[in-house]
Amino acid sequence: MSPNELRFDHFRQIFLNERTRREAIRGSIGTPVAAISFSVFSLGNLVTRFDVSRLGEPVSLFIVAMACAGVLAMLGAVYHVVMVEWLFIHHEPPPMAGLVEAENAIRAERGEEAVIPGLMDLMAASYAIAFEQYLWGNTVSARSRTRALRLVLLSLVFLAIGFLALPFHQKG
Amino acid sequence: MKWLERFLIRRPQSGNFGSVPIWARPRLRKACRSLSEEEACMQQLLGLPVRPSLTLTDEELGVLIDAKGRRAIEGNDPGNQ
Repeated sequence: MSPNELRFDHFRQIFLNERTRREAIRGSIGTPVAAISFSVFSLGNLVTRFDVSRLGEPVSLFIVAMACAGVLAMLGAVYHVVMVEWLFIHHEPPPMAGLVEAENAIRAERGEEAVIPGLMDLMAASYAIAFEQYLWGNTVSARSRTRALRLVLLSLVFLAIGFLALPFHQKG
Repeated sequence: MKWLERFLIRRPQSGNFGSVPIWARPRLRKACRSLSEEEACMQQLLGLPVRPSLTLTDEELGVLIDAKGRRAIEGNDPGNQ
């Protein structure tokens, strides 16, 4: 296999892999979104059982603080979920017209023998550029997805602590 | 009834794979220039007789911007000729 062919195969493969990974990241957003829904449900439950007339008591204030912290963490998670797909730009290999134009230019400048290696190098370069853009975009999206998941778990922890304090609040 | 068409048919709205609104051009200008620079670097690195001409896809607007469209967005800077 020649260096041209090696480059072409390598970059085409990693470009296709990275493009597939994009879809995997996109599909995995469902997990933090489902957890956010659960967090909202938990918050509603906590609010329903809270006795507002006892707001001045230390346990009540503690529960309010936990609920507020849970809401803030949840809003942070929502922000990061939005950021996963925010302003996503990617590159795709040249269209057929571009390849035909390149083929004619290579043939005119370097002769018939240079067409295939020239086109392979052109495609390898295109795949390399597109791969790097996908890699960068996927890395940023994966980071946002991870942060969303962590924040929603934090939100659930705060709400769980609020629920644990609820019996003490209700007994007075 | 063109507004109804958008619900019934999914296809490019213009021959250029969708036009880029003016308010989005400043945001895309940087991405277009960055892509053009990378293409120029690759051409130099591999000794290509022609520059690769990739298509830039913006999922936010739902547009495909070819090399010619990118030049229009980039503007007339000497570095982009």
